[in-house]
Amino acid sequence: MAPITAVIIDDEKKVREALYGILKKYCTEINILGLANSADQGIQLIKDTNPSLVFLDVQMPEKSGFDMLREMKDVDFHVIFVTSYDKYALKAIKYSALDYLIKPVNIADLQMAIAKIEGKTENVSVFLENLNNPTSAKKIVIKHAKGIRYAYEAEIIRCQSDGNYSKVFFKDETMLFVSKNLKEFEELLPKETFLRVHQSHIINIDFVKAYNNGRGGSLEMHNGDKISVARTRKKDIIQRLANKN
Amino acid sequence: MSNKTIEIAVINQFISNGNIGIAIVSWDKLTTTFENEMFTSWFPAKTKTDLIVDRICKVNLERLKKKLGQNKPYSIECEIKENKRSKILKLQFTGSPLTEFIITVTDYSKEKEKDYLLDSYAKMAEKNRKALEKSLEIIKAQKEELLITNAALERERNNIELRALQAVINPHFVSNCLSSIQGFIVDKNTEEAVNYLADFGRLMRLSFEQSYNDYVSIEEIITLLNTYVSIEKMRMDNPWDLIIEIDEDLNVGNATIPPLLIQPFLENSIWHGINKIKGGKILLKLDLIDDITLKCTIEDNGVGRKHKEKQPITEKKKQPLHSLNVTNKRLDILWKEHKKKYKIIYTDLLTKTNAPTGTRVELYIPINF
Repeated sequence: MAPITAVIIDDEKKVREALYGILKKYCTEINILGLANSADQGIQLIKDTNPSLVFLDVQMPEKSGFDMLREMKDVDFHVIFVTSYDKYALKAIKYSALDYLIKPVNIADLQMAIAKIEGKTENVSVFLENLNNPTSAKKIVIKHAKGIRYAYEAEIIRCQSDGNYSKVFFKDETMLFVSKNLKEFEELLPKETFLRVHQSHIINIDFVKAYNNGRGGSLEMHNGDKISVARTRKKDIIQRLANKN
Repeated sequence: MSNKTIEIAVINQFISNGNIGIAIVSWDKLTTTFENEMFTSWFPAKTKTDLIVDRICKVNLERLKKKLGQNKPYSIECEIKENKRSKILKLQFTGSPLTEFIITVTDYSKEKEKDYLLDSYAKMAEKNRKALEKSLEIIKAQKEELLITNAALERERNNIELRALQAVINPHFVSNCLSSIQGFIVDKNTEEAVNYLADFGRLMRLSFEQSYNDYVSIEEIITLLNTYVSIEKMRMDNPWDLIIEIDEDLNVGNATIPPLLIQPFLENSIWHGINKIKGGKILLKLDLIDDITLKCTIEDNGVGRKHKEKQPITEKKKQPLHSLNVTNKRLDILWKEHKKKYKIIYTDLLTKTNAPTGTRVELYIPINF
């Protein structure tokens, strides 16, 4: 395996140095080509050194890490975001299944993130596409047992929980078994289109064919699936369906 | 005069005083054998032999006989005209079903009126009661609404206090400080790591402590700001200075202001003003304006505000926890208690050739002594 070459981009000197020090000591397979203190410097550094991996801070005063990626036309490197806790940034990152570390970094997390960077540059491209796209045309990156699927939200009919895993059902009648729980999907998918109708079900409201009344009632989807509705969510769901029509 | 005649005369005398009509009727003739004046005036007879049924049309003799036979009372009500006014009389029949029966007549109009009054009073009372119940319900609802609003206000107040704390101890700040400490440790720079950690801990403690109070002495506020500044100095590439000027009339030990208001403005000057320049300077000036107002000036010689920063802060999107947003809101609430509007003045400093040379922020803070 070719050694991994990397650069670190963070506006704070001490934070850069910390990551640099930890990488040197605990991730010896990494060859650090340089450090940059801003998005602009980072772009230049990437152009000059052509690294395979970029450790990228999200929050920087002039231009954020996201802004920096937006500015770069071709992204042929892996990205590991190094960020403080930021709900919005983390959502965007998770959506494209990119890796991230929360400062201050944990050595084991860092090593694990580096170990699994193979084949992820496409995720970075999808992430960029999503940053520039309106909500409806976003692609979600779904990692499953047999690989990665890049799917438009509008292709997903529903998600069903299966223990700590979830089953995702697509328009083309395929189904994926994903090692994410339903709560994670609920957080990632936009609430305008995806409804949690039951403890075990999230549905895409665009694929609802009919609502059958009952205690909680059930929904009939375009693909014929029947999904029970929790009694506590019945009212809300009828309302949402009514508003849609 | 016979005894009976005397007796009748006495009774007659007695009963003619009251408003009671009395008559005695014999069953075989069905005419009165006796009647007092009251009775006669209420039920006048054309001849002495007028039948009682002709004088009192409503009386049902069969029914009366039956009732009396069962030893049960029989009574009816009659309406008559007296001086063109209608009167309601109550007639009670007692006596024997075979020989004679007695009719006792009382003026029932008063009773009726009383009943009517009572009835209408009851109706009015009922109406009032319903109206009262309704207003009570409205009051109850209003009270509940008020309680909810109060709770919401209280929540907002608590929320804003919490957010003031979060504005200082925000995730970004905490993450980066701790990362810096990691850096010192990795570099085996023990002394710096120890000092940095001590400052960080001190800032956390002071911020928590001050956030619990509505007002904090200026002395304590300066201590927090100095601790904060020494941490920020360690985080930044270029050295810089903070100069603090305090009005001589101000007793910093006694004068108090709300906590955690100045720091977000200072943070803004540091990271968006002098961050990337050499020889950065920030001036923090506190002036007493009047009994209730402290003017705080924060002036830096940094890069000046960019166009997007000149927009009102509220228009920036996706920054729900923007520390200056929180501070504006707090100042707004604080000045509302004084029935005044809060005021923050931004001035873009320019050189003679109109090049940006920094930013001045003046904010007015309520002060207590």
